[in-house]
Amino acid sequence: MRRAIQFVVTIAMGMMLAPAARGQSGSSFSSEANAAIVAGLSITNTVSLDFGDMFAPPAGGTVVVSAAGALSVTGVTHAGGAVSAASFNVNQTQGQPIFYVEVPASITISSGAGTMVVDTFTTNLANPAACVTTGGPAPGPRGQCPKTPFVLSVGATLHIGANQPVGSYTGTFDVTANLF
Amino acid sequence: MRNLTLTLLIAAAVAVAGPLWAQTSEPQGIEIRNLTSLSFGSFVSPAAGGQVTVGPDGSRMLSGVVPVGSDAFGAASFEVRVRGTGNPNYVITIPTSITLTGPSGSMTIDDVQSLPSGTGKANPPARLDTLTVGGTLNINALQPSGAYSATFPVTVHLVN
Repeated sequence: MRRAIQFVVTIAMGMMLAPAARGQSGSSFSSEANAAIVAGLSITNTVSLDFGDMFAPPAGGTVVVSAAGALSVTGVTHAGGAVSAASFNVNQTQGQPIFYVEVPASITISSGAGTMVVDTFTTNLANPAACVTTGGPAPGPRGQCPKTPFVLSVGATLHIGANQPVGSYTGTFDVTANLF
Repeated sequence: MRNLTLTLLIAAAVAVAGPLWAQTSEPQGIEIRNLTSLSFGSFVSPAAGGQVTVGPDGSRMLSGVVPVGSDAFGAASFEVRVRGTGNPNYVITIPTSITLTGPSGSMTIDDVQSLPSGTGKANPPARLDTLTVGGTLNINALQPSGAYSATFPVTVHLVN
């Protein structure tokens, strides 16, 4: 007797549930979701290019800071102060790609009272003809250029005019790292 | 005698159920189909991670990431069609999160949102509605490069 009662109860419950489920009509459909990630090259400036302090030369002169940070002067008396080549960290978020760098042909730095030109940018790259450009297409061959991560040093030549106005001269320049 | 009782009860149950099934001969129904994908775009792998939010209105907000290349984005869109009489609401069910997988990593979409949100209506006479879905993509620091994708379901139910 107990078995029969259980059976009836089960059927009755089933019938109560079935119409409720059918009364609530539903539909489902899937969509795609997507995104793409591309490996990224980054370059970060860590040290500024600094020519230090010098006395204003009556006839003008030049100050060179090499990529290694060495100072050499022509027609100018250096008065000390911090001297440094610029330094950059070149990194890639994935892998170790080969890169080349783009530096300016020249920039102007100013004090408000006067301006000076900085040019002849140099780097610590072993093959500048293949790996450094001041614009235009990628140089090469790429096989002569470095892989990331790389610490890039940049030096340049400062041109001081005759009777250059006294002051603190500053400017900014862009260094771009590019993948071949 | 026990068998007879059982048979009668089953018959009664079927008789009661009959009219309820018959109601569906003039059914209210709802259908949904996908028109466009939820696309976040293309990004440079961020050194410190970032987020991309594509709203269900198709707008995009970036945080800590840089878009790159052929960078198409948009909300997922669906067409909802309601059959039958009346003008019932429908309830929308979307995932709380979606995991995108790529060649050597995964990313999570959370804060999934739909427009309309929660419930919608496909007004007569057309009884057609457009439902869109967006979300927030979390890109990890140094996320491996590649194409990431997933499928996610959107379900609609009529409520009377």
